[in-house]
Amino acid sequence: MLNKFMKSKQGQTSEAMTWIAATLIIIVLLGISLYAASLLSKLKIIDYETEERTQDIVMEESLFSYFSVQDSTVQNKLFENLDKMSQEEKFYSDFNSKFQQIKFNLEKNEK
Amino acid sequence: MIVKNRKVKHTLRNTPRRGIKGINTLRKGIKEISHCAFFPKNRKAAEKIISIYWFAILIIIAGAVVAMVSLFYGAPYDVRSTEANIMINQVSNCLSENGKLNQKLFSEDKTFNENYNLKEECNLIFETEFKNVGGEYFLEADFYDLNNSSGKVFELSEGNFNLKADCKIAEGEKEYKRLSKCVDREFYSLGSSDNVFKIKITSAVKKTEKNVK
Repeated sequence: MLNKFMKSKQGQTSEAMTWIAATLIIIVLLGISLYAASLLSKLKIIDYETEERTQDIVMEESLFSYFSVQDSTVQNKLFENLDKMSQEEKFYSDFNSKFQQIKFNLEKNEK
Repeated sequence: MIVKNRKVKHTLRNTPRRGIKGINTLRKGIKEISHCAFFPKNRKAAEKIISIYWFAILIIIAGAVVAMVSLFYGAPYDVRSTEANIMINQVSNCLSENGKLNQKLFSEDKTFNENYNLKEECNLIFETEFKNVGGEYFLEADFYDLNNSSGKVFELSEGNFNLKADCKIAEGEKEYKRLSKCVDREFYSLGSSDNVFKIKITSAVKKTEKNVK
């Protein structure tokens, strides 16, 4: 009889432990999710520079001025500077493709 | 959490026959015994308590989901660098047209026009809903002669000059969210007599109330 009673006591304790453990797991998981949500909310930055784009107005102005210059020494100096800026990744779109595109359009217009 | 119930214990000890309430539950298994031991009256009461527990868990989970959604969607998007870049595009477009500097930048004697109003000429509106002393924006355009390395030949500026100091701090390694966002860009444009100018535009946007939580 006493043995049975002891067994039932053990059953009660293990049952309670299961519930407590389950509750704790739920609370811990919710805590992790809340922390993750707060971390993700800090990453809500729209970065103009890193976004992939096909147009860079500022770079195009420089390219237009390059093609407008008559003096070849000035033109070479300007190209060196632009190429350096391109290597330093100061432009938001591809410098070489834009250069070729403008050159092609200008040659087409001349013809 | 464990409720000691003497009545249940007594029943368990002193009624060894089958069919009596308490013993039946003992024979059926540990789970049912624990219900009886936890909750004094009967199984219905036990189920009631369990359902209250489930409701509590449900409320906790629902509350956490609401908190997660409000945390994520309540945080504003930081668009200051985009705004600063858009301002630079606007200014570069107004200072230079197709690679040539705007003629309004020059006075009749071919020198730079000191009375050039950047804000008006470039259609910039610096007024915001926030009453920050001096304003929330700063714009500066420095002109350098490509053939002359003597330094700045002309400059234009508009807006809150105090924000320029934030740009100096922002150059360091650590990022300060509460400071203004600064963007620097350079481009080349042809002047009046085939001389090329390097134009460096600095744009700063504060607006921390709207962009940073």
